[in-house]
Amino acid sequence: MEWIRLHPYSSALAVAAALVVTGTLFIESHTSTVTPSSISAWGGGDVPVNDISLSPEPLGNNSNQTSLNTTDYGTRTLPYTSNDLGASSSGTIPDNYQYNAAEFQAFVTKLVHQSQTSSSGSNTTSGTATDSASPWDYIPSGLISTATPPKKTQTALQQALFQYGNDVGVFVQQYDTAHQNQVQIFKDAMASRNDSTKQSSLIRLGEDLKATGDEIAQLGKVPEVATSNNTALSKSYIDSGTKLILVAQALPGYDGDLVKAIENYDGTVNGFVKNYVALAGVFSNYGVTFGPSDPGNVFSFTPNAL
Amino acid sequence: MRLIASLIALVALVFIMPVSVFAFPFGGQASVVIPCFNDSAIYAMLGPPVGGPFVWTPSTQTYSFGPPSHAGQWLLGNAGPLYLCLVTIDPIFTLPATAILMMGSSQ
Repeated sequence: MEWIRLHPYSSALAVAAALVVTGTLFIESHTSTVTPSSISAWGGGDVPVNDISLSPEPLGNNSNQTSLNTTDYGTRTLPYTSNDLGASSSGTIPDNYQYNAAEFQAFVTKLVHQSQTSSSGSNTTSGTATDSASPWDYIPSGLISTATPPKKTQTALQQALFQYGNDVGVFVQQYDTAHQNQVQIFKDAMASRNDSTKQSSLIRLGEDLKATGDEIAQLGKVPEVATSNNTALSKSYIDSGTKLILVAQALPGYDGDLVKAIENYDGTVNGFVKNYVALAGVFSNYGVTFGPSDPGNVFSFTPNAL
Repeated sequence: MRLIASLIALVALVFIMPVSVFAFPFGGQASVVIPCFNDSAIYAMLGPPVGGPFVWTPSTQTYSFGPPSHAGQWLLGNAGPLYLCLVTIDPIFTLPATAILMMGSSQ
């Protein structure tokens, strides 16, 4: 004890080192990864950015889906059923839940229509991927790409749309980054419906939605082909903010009024999603693509995004 | 004692940080799928790599293989604003989630 008091920095380093060693041993003892026999490096395949070229699924046509609680990944027992309301309300992942990277890779592979399947993606019937030769195989090849897409010459309109997409993307990203806890804010307000502080937090969320809408509406250079979409998106932000404030104000009142306010808010969010997708469609129609680091990437749906 | 407490707090923080939910993009396996009372929306609680509560709406741009339909299904896409999934109205029970803008799913 005397030594620890005399050498606080050394003892802190020793404790940190002990934690690292303990953590390493714990992880190693709880994983079934096969250690590779030789050093290997992983580089993403030649998956270009914006590789997905799927057509939207017609709504209501779910004939190719399996029945409830079945997967095509073998006979693994699912941790939850869709009727498990009690568990869902807590919003937590159960203890027996195991994230299976191989299953996720199989899903992404199927989604981007890649013809070849890597070794880890095909060995998923038992829920583990013990047959993998390299830990790098756990990284889904479609998710991270080190390949740089070839530069294409853009027309003046494409350049204008690219610039506009990045301008709007900045506002969208700013809102999303600042309100990553929006779900929790509503949960808290709903749990204490008479708490004015929590009610104020929800109102502030609505005000920020409105402010984002105002910023998008005041954008200077909007290409003519996107003018109506820009107006619709900014209006959606403002409407959603207004309706969310009404939800916050209805919290202390009767349940019936709150239900009505929530239904109105959800209705505007539906319109928001519609307008957002329509604007994303404009970029797609004119062949404008955004790189992973471009703010306009918020309008793209790519497996590289994760 | 203060040093040990700081270290424990630091370690706890490291473990808590990945739980943060990001609005864009998302992807993971559904552990719970519940139909909402309003607007034919569907609530899905997703696990890693980027999970959390999400809601498919009728306006969501939906690629293969359709909206969330069962636990165990994988979802991948972009999400944005807050959506309030009304499960029951009497008593009022809501599940707040992030509305899905575009998504694809496994079978």
